[in-house]
Amino acid sequence: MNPRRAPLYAVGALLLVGCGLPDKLDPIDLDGPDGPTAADFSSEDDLLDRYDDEIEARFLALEEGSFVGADDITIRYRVNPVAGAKGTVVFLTGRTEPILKHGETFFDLEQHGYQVYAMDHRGHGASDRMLDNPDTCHVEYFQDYVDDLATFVDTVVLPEVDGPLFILAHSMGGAVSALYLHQQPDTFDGAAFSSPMMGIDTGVFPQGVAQMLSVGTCNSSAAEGYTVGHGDYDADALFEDNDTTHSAVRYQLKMDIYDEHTELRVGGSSWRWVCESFWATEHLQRLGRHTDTRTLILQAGDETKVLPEAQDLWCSEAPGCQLITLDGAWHEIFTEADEHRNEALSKAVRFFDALVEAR
Amino acid sequence: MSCALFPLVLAATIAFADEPVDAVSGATQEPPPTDNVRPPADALYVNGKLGWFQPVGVQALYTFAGAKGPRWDADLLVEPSRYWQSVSLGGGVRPFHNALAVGVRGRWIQQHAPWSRGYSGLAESAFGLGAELGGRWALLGSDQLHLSLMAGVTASPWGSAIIPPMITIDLGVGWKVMER
Repeated sequence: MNPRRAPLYAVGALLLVGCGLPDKLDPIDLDGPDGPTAADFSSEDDLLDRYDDEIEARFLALEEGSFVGADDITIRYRVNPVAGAKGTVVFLTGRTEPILKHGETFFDLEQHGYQVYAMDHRGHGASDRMLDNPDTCHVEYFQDYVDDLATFVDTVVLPEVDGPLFILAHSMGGAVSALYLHQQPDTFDGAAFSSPMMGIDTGVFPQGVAQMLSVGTCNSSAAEGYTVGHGDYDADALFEDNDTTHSAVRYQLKMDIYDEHTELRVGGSSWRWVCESFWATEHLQRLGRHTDTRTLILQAGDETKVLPEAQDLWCSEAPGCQLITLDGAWHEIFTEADEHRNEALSKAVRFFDALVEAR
Repeated sequence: MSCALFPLVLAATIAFADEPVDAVSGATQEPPPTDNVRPPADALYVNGKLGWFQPVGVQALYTFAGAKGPRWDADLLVEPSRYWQSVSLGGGVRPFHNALAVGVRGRWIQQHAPWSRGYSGLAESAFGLGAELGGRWALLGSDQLHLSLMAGVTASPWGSAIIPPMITIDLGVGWKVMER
């Protein structure tokens, strides 16, 4: 080695080290003898009998509120306060879902000492719609979802709660949360994501083709129409044709919710939503390494809606991330069959418990 | 889509070529004097374009040539849209002294418009480098008005997001605003 070049090599080595991935934190043990197990969560066996009185009626009696989100859209939320709670969970749903659909999960969390603050995303659930057609899942900027979450946290959650604060988010809610954690790294003590949308499964279309077709459409129009293969909410969709949950009971309860509360229905996505979701997922692929918050990804083993490899990438680079694959599970883990749902929830609660203890 | 158009571009290029090939020897003949596709002097064109992926664009294209060498083009292309914005610098050459043009293009892509809500320049930027192929033809027998058809592909490995290769195909009309 030419000694005169030593400083150059040193700078190169420093750059290599500096540009490498940050060190991973030791994963939290979620399989120890202490902590809840799958058997400690709500069961499908008696769910139909319990649902009306113990879940939906209780959910609809929860404290509700609203705030004005980005671009003057009204966002509605519910709070399930728990006296002496171990911690607070901010819950975010996936695309098309209202928070009412996850009432069962809120009360499961309550059983394990966590209170829940949950908001309906803009254009979802009880929050204001974005277009004249209430069925269209549309957003002007994906960042609006993140800004709404920030407003929710800053104006509703933080003024009311003290103590450990967590996110539990599904699919699109996971993408919103992951962006939030990057932008506001000091607010939450941890986050658990089920099937987070860190990459979109574009089905028969190659990823790049789907993205360029979408962006080309967004470039030349308002992109408020449905994207290819999407349409209004389908009230006749059959359980046999679904690929999001193996639980016939939870599937039927979901359909019953939409039959009874037609205002909560959301159908297919607009081109703009697709463009904005690509924007979000493209950015997430570069943000994992910059996200220090402790995170747990609950990955569906038989996923067809989002890209597991994008979750793998994000988690491999995020210093505080650990990932569990639920073999055989479909996308909607929180409304999956007991064997998947309750396994996932027990891991999430153990994860939160460990962070409460470590605090 | 762009591949399907290449034969069309090449056919038109040959049809408009000003450098005939000797049928017997295959050697190229001295190009006859023409101002069809090789303007007699350096010139600045202002182009408007329609196309895919960016639907519209405005381009300032400077074209120049030495005494014997090929004709070169350099341009600044601004492509606004309702979503992505693109500003690019292009450089091209017409190696056979006819309409066929090949070039490279460096792009600065903004994934949202600077005037959009929550815009953050650093977070919205992607930088790409691509190649393009097409033709530029004089219209109406004069070099005052030019028609161009260009197809290209841009890869954007640099920036705040990972975006797939961008395939473009553009039809443009240019007006000569300056000649030197």
